[in-house]
Amino acid sequence: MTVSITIGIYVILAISLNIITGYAGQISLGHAAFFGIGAYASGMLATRLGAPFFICLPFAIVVTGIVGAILGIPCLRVREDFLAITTMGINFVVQAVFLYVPFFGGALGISNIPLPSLNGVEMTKSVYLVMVVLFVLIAIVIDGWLTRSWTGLALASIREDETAAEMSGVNLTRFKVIAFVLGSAMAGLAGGLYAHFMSFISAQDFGFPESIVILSMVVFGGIGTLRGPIIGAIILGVAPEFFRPILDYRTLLYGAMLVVLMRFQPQGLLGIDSFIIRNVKRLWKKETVVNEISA
Amino acid sequence: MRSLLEVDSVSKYFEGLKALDDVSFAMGMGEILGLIGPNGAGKTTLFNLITGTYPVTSGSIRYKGRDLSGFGPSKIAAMGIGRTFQIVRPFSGLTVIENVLVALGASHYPSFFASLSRFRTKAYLSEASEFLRRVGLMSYAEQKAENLPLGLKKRLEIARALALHPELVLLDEPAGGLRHEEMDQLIGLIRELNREGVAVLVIEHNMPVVMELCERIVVLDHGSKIAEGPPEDIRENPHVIDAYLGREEDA
Repeated sequence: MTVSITIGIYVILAISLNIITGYAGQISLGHAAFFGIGAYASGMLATRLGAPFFICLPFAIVVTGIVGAILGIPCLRVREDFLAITTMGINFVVQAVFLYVPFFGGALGISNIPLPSLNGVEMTKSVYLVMVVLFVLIAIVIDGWLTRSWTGLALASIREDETAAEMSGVNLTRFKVIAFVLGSAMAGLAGGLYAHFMSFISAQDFGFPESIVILSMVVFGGIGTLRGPIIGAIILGVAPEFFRPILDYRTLLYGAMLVVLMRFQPQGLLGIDSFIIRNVKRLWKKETVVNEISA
Repeated sequence: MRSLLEVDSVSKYFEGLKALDDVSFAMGMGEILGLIGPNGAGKTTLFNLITGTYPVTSGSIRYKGRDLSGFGPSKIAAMGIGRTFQIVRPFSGLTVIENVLVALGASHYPSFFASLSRFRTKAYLSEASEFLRRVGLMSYAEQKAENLPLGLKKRLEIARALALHPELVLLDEPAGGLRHEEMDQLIGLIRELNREGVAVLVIEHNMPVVMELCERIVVLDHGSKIAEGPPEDIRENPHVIDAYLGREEDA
């Protein structure tokens, strides 16, 4: 149960990072910062002001979206490798703020974040899981809508060629900010879900390694597609549970996997034109041809 | 003839390097104007100023009477100035028809809500197909743009520029790297567009193409305008022969 909830949260995180990095092509090595901002916003509102979960969660989404817009501004002026370093820096700064500013609980973090209640009764884990799955579905619907919309097309054009996109009427600033805000807000949602489920959060949960874990999931599954991040988050989320002994070496394994993947299958497992997808398509074609002949 | 584009004593300095110096000319509606000059004369810089990639240092550029200074590139594109690039820049990972659709969306992008609507509707697909048909790319509609040969990528860029419903198209060396028959087709295409009322400002090194296509030519050298007039005058202009043809003999 715990694993399923964690995976659900990772699926939302992977989908949200994929909007920024996969669709808009803006590499981010600091996604855990927004995950953390959402978790802290929701957790602190609940513990300090006693606000109910269903107020904390929208609050987390809005705060993270706004911070995403603000932190996205320095990212607008830099591209590619410089953007990677900028986003990494943002992650370190955000984590340091959580760790060293007393207002955020310092090294002790935020504890005793309550589980949400329904009609005055505290949610069980299974109900919580259902809720997380519901949010995963909402994230999938939003993602699907995005890729079919003019906004999605504009983001794709920015990923492919910024100059040509501008000359085709795409306002770079506007659409990059939209991608950052949407991706961050969705990560904020994941953060809120995480905080209330774990009940205790601290700055360590939202460091640079966590960003790499999220990015690994996106890249492993297939960046730039919807199925990719979902499958990536599920496989990489489940794997450590099945191989308990490797839990300590999780990041090492993810790192090694990224290296191998980049060499042999940069599109990811289920990315466009990846080995698996190519073969599935071929089989599919064969089958339809056979069907047509027999028909 | 009402002026469509007015370039009025435009200068551009890059940290003290003079790229353009006091260049003025005007273009009428539906005209084909050639822009020539040796390498480094400032032709592409001028394109980048017109499309808003960088601001002018001094002077002004007006399109249909409106001063373009302060408008960003996306706004200027949406106002109806399309362009192609010297080194082609298609959206490689997108399909051919999606490349055109990106520009077709120019009227949607400024509105958040309009940008949320779907782009793969029948109406937009058939409109985009119309542009592909005009440049002869209809049979490649669902192919990835990166798989097209250079000549077709250049046509795709033209289709993409046309999807902005432009009244002015800037073509940066459209004939560069093309084989003979491709070049002839391209000239035919540009002529056809022009007949439909689109004005064309074209940078081109291939002299026969320029002479054949353009009604008027502006010659730049070292950032300054050294001549302007119909092809036959330009061909005999001693300044042009000195600056342009003379330099080519050196090289």
